[in-house]
Amino acid sequence: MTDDTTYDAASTAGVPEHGRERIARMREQPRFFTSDLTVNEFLLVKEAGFDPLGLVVGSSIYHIGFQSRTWNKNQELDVLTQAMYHARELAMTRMEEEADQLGADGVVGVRLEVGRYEWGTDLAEFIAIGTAVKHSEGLLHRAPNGRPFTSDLSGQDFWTLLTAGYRPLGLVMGNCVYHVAHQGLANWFKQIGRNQEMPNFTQALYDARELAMERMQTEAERLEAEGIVAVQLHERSHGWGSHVIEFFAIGTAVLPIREDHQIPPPSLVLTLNDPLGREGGNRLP
Amino acid sequence: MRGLTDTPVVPVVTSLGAPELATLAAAGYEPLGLLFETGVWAIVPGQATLEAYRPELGRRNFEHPDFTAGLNEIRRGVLARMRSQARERADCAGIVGIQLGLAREDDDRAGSSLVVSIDAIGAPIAPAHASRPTVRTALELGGMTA
Repeated sequence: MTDDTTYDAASTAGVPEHGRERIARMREQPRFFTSDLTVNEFLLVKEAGFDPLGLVVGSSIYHIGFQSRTWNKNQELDVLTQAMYHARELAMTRMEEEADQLGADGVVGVRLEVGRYEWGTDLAEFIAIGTAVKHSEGLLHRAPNGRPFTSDLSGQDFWTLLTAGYRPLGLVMGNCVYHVAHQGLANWFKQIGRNQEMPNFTQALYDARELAMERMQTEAERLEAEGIVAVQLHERSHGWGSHVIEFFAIGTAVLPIREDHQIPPPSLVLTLNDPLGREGGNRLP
Repeated sequence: MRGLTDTPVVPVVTSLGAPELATLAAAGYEPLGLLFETGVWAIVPGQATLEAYRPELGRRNFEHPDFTAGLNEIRRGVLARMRSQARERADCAGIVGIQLGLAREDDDRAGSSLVVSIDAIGAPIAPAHASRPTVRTALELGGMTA
């Protein structure tokens, strides 16, 4: 997949006046931070040797084009795949540029969300949001491409990863929008009243999932990572109908920073936190 | 507010739960209160939008210029106001647990195609001035009352 999103560390293009003011003020007052980290995450990020600098946001509202599909054919819809990838990449790049302007080494707790609104049927908003952090002793933790590292790991996972001798390199992702063929009438009649696998559907979902995973893996190899942790595989239709599905794979590429990977012995914890909500209160609608 | 003693007691309203407050206190911080900011904006599509939707360009992929810039500005504006509010307290170290929410407002009076509101809520914290007595908590499982 081509990536034509250019990265400019000094760019404030697209950043509105309020954003430029906010970044300037955050630079002037380095000891004050804003963050969507929970209390535990904040304290563990500090414990890992990083100071939170500020909440960074990148977004893009994208018009998703149209691609015709053959009713009875499994196929990737590459126009839609490209749109979904490019818009996410735009949002991520803007978030990284904002973090760069704060002098951050990286961004932790990144959430990449897609919102569809009733005011535009072909429009979707892609938002990347996270907390920019900087190493308190000035050790360089940036990605090999010079950008601040990005990671969707929570503060707890970030601390555990560093304690175990690894560091995050960047958020890697891959996607595939796939049209799953409809079944012909003859096949439908043949299967009435019988338990059997639907090879057509199985194959389509397999292909789409593999394509998304393969693209994510290619991104990690480009970053020269040793592996990817906390991979999540999302499957969504985004309102395109039941036979058009996007598979989206996302994870954090990591690299070892030392030879031994000793971790403290695990202990049993009985959590009293609300299992349904994120720590720190209810999320606004 | 005055309680049973002469020492004034100022209640702190916060979005943090009890376990988080205990963790925060153990780490030497205290909550300062609750910050809430909201902004309602009308986003009017301009020339750039008309250009992007030219029929001869077909149904292609493109970024929506005015809605992207508009939502960016409102989101950052709300965060900037929240930051200014927090900075009014000189001892404020930062804000944790910021949550951003977005909603579309049903209001056609603005004459635009999009009216949105963004809410932000967060918990400002400061280094604790005085050391607090350590409270040990214990979970009791089971136990019958007579």
